[in-house]
Amino acid sequence: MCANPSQKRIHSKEYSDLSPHHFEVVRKISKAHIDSFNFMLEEGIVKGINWIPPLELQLPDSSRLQIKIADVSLGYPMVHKDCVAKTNLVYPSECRMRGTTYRAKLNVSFIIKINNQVVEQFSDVVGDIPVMLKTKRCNLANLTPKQMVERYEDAGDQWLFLVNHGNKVANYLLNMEFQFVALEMIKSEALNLVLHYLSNGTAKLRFFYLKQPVFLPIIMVLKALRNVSDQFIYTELVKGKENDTFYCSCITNMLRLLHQEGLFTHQQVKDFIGERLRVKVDLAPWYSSSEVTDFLFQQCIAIHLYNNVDKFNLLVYMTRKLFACARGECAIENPDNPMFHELYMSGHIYFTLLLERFEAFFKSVKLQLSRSLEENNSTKKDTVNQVKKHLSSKFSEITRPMEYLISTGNLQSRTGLGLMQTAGISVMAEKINWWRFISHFRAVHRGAYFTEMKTTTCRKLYPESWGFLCPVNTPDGTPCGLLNHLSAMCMITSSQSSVRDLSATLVELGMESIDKPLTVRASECYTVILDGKVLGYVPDAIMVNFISLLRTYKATGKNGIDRLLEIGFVPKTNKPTQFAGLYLFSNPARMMRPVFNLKTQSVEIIGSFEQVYMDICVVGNEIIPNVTTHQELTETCMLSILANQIPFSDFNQSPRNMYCCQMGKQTMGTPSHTLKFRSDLKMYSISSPQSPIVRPAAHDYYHMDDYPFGTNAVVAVISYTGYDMEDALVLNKGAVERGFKHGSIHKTIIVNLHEIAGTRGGEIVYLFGRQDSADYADKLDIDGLPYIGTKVEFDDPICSYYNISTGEYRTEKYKSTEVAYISDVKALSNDSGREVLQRVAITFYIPRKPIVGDKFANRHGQKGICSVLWPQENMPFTQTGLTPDIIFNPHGFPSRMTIGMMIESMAGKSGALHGLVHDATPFMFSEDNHASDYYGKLLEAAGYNYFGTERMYSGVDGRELTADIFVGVIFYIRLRHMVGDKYQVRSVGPVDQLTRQPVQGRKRSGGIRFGEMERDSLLAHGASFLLRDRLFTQSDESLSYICTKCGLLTSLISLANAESSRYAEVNRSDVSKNLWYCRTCRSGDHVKAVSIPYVLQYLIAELASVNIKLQFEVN
Amino acid sequence: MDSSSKEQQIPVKQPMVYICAECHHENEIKPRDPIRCRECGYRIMYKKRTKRLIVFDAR
Repeated sequence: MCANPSQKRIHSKEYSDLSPHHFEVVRKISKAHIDSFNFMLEEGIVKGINWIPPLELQLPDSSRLQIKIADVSLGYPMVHKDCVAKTNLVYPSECRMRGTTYRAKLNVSFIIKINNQVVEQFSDVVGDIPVMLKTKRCNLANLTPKQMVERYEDAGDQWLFLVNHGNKVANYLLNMEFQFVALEMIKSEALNLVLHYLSNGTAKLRFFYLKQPVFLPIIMVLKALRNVSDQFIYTELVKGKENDTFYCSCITNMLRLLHQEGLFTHQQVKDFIGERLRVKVDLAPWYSSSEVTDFLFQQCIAIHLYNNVDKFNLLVYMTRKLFACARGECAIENPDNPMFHELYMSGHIYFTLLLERFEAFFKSVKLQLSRSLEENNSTKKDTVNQVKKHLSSKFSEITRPMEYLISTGNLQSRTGLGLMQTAGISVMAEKINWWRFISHFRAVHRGAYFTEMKTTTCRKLYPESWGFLCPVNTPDGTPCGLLNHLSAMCMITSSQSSVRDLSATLVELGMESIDKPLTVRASECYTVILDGKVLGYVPDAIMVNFISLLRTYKATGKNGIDRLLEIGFVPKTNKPTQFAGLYLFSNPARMMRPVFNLKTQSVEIIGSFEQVYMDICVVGNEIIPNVTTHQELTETCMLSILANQIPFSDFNQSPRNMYCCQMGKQTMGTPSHTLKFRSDLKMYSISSPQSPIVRPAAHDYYHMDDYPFGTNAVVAVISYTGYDMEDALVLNKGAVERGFKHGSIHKTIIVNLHEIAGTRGGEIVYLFGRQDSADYADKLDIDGLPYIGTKVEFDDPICSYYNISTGEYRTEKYKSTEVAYISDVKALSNDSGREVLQRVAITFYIPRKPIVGDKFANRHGQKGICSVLWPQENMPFTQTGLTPDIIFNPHGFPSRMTIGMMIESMAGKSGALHGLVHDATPFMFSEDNHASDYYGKLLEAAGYNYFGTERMYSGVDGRELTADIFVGVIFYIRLRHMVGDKYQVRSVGPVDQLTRQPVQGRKRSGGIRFGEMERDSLLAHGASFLLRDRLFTQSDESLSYICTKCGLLTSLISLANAESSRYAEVNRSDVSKNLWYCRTCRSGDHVKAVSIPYVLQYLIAELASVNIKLQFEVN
Repeated sequence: MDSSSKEQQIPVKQPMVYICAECHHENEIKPRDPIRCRECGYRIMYKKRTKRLIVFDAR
């Protein structure tokens, strides 16, 4: 997969060219998402609309009205056709700049039938729904890298959805693989069947209809599915278990129970179920009870099988497995095991929601129709018109939730689509740097439901996930183990593989088909199941040979066996292990990965289920003859794209590699090549990035140099200034002044005059413009917009506008205290392009050179804060006169054990000396071939110390340091957490209106809470003056008056106030003596001034309002 | 300022030059004109960089 790393590309003239290879690599990263959306467009919709039950209604004249959806089609994103423009197509760059949703029109055609006769057929646009980028309905599909750039995209750019400034990705969600687990079976359209074993030896089937559970005895379901005799059901159920008396008696007992209910025939059972569940199922009245049952079974039971016989066979198989499990003959399967998982992809969720919206739409139209049609007795034509009217009035019910889902991540659904969560379906794809960005497309979330679980089983790293989910790339904290990332080579099946010839091939290999009588005893057979459909039986005797041939066919793609077929052979053992059988999977949304088949000498794609039962070695010397059948393609195949980027990760302690994966995502890098054509609210970029000297092969494979992000820094491991305690790093001031680690922020704000005026629709209240004589004429242009390149400081105007009716001018102010420069002003129109200027996007450029408090890290999870910018002349220097860029404290090593960082230091140094780029792919070195030895010799060859150390001299007085200092070159990255965004300071400032205490929050220049625990610590120290200062003087101290005689604050009135003259009881003579007067004591003599917290005054007033008097004892 | 004097100030009929974000054509757009490129009909315009001198202290 990866060639030896080199800097050839960045030095060649082709660096600026767009490599088709890179394009292909990048395309693969998000392929599964795009395929899942394409699946919806191509096959899904056609199949899906047949699933939508038609709207059926009995008209007042007892004729039957039926409305069906005949076709659904999605257009390309376009502006209105009346729009005067060269092309009507809308490209994502426009949506990105204008902050609109990238969406296309959804066209639906309906058929209206009355008494089964088509009376009307029409199609209509029901609205716009968001379109996934790069799919077949995206205008960017099939563009070459060069054409992409012409469309103002990054050559290999990929977003999933664009919604109002958000670039959204729907996570992959893990779910249990269906069709396999007999106890728990889940359908991709998210309906699960659960078979319960009851302690009285019976079994019940549970399924959900509209989020409501329905329980039915299994025998009842079997009988309702097929019109067969009880004898037949009995023999089918006990097949292979004829000698198990307990099991046989359980089955006879269950059959007997049905008879006790008085249900003997197929028809009776169907009527019985239909009668009871009719209320739940909203079907037209002319359906009979047995038709209700049929409908329910079609909608709810094993819906991936279209045939009742198949459903019957599957349920029989499930029952057998259930009883085996209940009696401890086979192991209970762990639902957290990735072996049984499949992924929900963004396209799938989107599609199922769309289908459900159609159903919901029909439901609400039906409700409205039945009401209005009852009222007036009308002709056929009137009815049709009315139906059309009601249909179109509810169109928004289909499309609105689609955009809502993508923009908020919240799911509005009746059935919940079988997902265990309703929020967080989509997440913002942050484009901080290339690492962060691509890992969005590889993230797999187990579901929000699991984050609240007390148990940790769902977070565990299961050995079954080897090669599919990365063990390193998961965050720590709450989402640990739930948010995983796919391994670099893991792929997701996007479509149903071809199984047309499978059955014939299997029979040829020796399988006995299900519909023929068995020639061997059932107990000596393995059941063959394909995607939950029982195909037949294979005798134990020929099984080993059978599997080996089948796998050979698969690996070579011969005899009509698809390469993506999964062959899960669970052998019989004499211990309670997994329920034996041959399980074949061909369905989409499974995780698969390539391994090397040693027998056929070809690459075979294997799935997570079959892997468990396969013998795969990692490297050649692990091969055990006659056991090992497969070998890994590379040693690093278990790692994700990000984990593959860590140099010498095999030398590091494993949590450090996890931290690196996390920190890599917060790096300031090159977010995009099209910064000018975007209106992102905030974007970080770095000014002078370099290509790393030490890099793994994956760095080149994923073309990380196209989005560079770090700097090769000379690092000395030395405790030098005293400023490098606790992970702090000392930066060389000289290096920083030469541009080391300089970065910037690109901030965009959108000024929308419609929004400011608060008008809906196209009404115009304000227009951009500047007063001729305005005193800010040097800041703003005549059109009211700022000059490009202007420096803006706090409170400077950034645009001005006037009210067209009053002529009053107003300005928008720059609200941040940080100096910025105007880098871009975009005038934005609306969709039709007919609007006068109402919206502008103003982009600011904020330079951020490194200052004390900024965060830096390297690729080994070693992060630190810059504690001082040390003058270069005071830095220690080597014999060659070199001063380090960064001083790293040696205490960072012992506990962290990041040996990879030391190796990188030596490798980087030797690479710099010899002009090489070193390959840092993990697992290259071994106990016999030390990395330190290899790089040590290279250093020696360049005339340096073998151990990577150097003599150094104090920068202050020039004395030689007694210790040899480890100096090398390490690739350092700057993280986006900067003090500039975080510092909070306040002496006096805004206060809360009600309590007069300081407000909270950095944005409002508020204070930091001095809370209870902080108070406790001051109390413990006896620091009472400090306590008084914090909680009182600096907070809400206020002057108030109290009557010392009666102890009231509320009874006082001010005599200075002219209004007090209306109090008759006031002794006029007091006025001259005191300014305050107590109404209860009828005197002003005892009034004293006290300073109390303002909240106390507020409390007293509040209590007074509920008739509670607060009296103080004053002394 | 009384309202009558403001009324007179409003008509700033001086056209400004904007650059189309799609075809880079330079469009003269008056304050009451729609934001649309005369060449290609695109709906986003860039403000042109000012010809005024912008000088900062180089520190």
